[in-house]
Amino acid sequence: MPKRVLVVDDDDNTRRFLSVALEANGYEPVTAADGDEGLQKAREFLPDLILLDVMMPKKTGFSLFKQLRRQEEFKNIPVIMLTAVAGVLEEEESQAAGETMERPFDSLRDGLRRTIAQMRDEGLVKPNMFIDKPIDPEVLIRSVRELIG
Amino acid sequence: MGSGGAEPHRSKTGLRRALSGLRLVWKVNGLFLLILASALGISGYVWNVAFERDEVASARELSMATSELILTRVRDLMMQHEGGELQDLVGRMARENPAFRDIRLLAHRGAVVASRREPPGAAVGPDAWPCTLCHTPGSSPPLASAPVCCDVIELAEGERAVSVVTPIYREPGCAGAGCHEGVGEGNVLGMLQTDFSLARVDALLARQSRRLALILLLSLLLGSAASFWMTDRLVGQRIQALREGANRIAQHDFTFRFSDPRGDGLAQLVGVFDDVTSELSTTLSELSNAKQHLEAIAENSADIIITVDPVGFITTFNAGAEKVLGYSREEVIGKRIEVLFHDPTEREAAIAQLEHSDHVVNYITRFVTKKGAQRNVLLTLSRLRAPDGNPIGTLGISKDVTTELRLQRRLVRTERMAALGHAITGIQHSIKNMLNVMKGGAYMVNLGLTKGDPAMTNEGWAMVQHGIGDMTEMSKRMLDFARTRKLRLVPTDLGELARRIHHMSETKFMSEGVALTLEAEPNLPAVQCDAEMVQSVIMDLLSNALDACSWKEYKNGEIPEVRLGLRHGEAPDQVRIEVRDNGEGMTEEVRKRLFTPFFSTKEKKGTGMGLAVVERIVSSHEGRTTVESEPGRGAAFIVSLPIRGPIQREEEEDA
Repeated sequence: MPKRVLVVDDDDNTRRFLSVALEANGYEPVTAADGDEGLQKAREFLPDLILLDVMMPKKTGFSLFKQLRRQEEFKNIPVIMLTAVAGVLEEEESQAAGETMERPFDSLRDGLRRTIAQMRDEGLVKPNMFIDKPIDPEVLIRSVRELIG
Repeated sequence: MGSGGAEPHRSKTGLRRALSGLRLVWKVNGLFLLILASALGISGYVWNVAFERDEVASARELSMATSELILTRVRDLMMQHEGGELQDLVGRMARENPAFRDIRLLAHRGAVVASRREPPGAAVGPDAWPCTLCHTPGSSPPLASAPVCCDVIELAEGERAVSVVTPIYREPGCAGAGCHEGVGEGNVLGMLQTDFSLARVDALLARQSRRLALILLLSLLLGSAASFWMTDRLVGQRIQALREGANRIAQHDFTFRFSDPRGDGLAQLVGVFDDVTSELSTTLSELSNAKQHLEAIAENSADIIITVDPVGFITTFNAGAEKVLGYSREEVIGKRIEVLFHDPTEREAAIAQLEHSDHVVNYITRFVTKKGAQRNVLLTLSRLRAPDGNPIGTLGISKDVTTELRLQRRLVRTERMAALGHAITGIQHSIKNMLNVMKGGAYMVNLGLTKGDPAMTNEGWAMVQHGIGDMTEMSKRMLDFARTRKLRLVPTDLGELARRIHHMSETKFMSEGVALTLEAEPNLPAVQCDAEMVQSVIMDLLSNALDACSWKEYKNGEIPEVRLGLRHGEAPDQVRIEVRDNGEGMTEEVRKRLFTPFFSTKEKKGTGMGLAVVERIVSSHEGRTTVESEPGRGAAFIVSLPIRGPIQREEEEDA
């Protein structure tokens, strides 16, 4: 039985090519166009992994992620977050180590980093992985395979 | 006449000058003594006159009594025809009272019958006393009667006498005597003259006068001494003290007090003097305190406080100025103010402004320090004027803003860098999202080719093209922003334009489940504008509103709604375009950065250029874009356009 992957992204094209790539590699994709639909599909299909876009209208990827982590049935499902903000996790540590070089264009990254720090403070487990956009479908498939085989 | 009139005047002023040189005490005393001397003199004279009158009166009485006594004796002797006795009688009577100078009996023809001083047989002329009583000199009309006369006469050798002349009348029974001889008509046979000498009285009077003069002199001397002593003690010394006090006050010694214990008018005056002195002392000390306070403020101010005289020479230079400019005040006071200016023409310009009003506030200029460094200052100039309004100089208070300016410049640079950063981040995101789609499309093309699935290849290719289209659109928008297109201004019916846009957009809005309504006020004037650009503005705002609705979760029966409104502006020469949505709204932070190029809240869709271009177009029409919003409650974008359109300047058209 193929492993089920839920793709939550508001962009039709992204949903489409991710589904194609997953299917071509033997996974069963399920798609949702926003956070609410994502939650509903997760409940319906109980996926083995969730690909979650960070920036979505109405309900952001992070708020859906928090909701999933707080519920017993979903809390152990691995989540890969898709973001156009590069290198969030890598830079978190160097920033904490006291690197103070002023980079005025980092506000988005800062926002994301704050959100992650906040999740950690709330006792929520971090997403398993971040993948930067533009997404290379082959890299993505390798990551999925690492997590769920 | 003129000179005659001027003379006494001159002497009068001379007298006045002489008088004014005298001490007050002398003047007061002189006046007092003058009055005293006059009073004593007048009373002495009156007393003397009264004394003389009394003495003369008693001399008269005595003479009259004696005269009557003699006459009785004379008549008796005559009646007895004892004419020879008369001589003895007169001599005896005269001897009995030595006060009588003479008693003589005169026959009517002037022959001396008896006299103490003249021998018998002598005769007096008709014009001698007492003949003149009855006879007019030169003729001898006999009188029937003659009056008894009593008079004071002047004798030879300055002697005076009271002379009583009594006529001797014919008596019945005697007509044969010699004395009747020659008496034709009338009854007067002769005269008895009794002279009472006033020599003793006059001597007494003279003695009295001398004594009076002595007493007067003595009393004047004593009076002067007493009066001088009194006035000097009561007035002179105190006036002297007042004068000394006034001198000491003039020399700014305010410790002086009279403290006069006496209660008289002068003591009250010096009391007032003391009060005034004390008040003056308090006032001066307050003034001095205020002056010190003001000087301390000026001196201790960190600002540069300099005063300059009307010609431009430095007159004061405070510690703040010394600190900032590096000069000591000794070095610059008296120097020209221009030495402190980096560019002296800047001072001239500031002074020129001062001509219009007496103040120039926050004039930006540069000073140069002693070491030659420049200091940026905000200079406030005030014209100093004397109470009569004449300028007496200029006060300059300057704030050294060199550090503030440097910080401000750094801040501006930082903000500019931040804006650039946001723009780059925005562009990066847009590109990443477009690349994402293209990369996915390329993957599908490859997969389709590998698997021999043309449908998938086609689908992938469409995705790649979609990405290319998005990128083209973005680069076009960026170009729009960078380029200033010349406005094609035509009178435009915005209502008609709005209806057309509404018509074009309705279907898209409906497909997204958002209601689009149009509210246009009637009778709107045509607006001079570039219709194509205004249309793109409205379309952009509608597109944003639609996105804002799609980003919100609607609850409690609320439906997503966008309203396009056209109204008369707040000013009569304006028209308002309003786009209101009840979408997710925005925070204050977002609202502030709304018009920054490449700023976007939309991860995949926006380029961050829309509102920046909107703002650009509206500004080029000399209009204004405002935003009202509350997070979660929606937003309203309001564009106000002037009906007359922008006033295009040549250089703009050239550009």
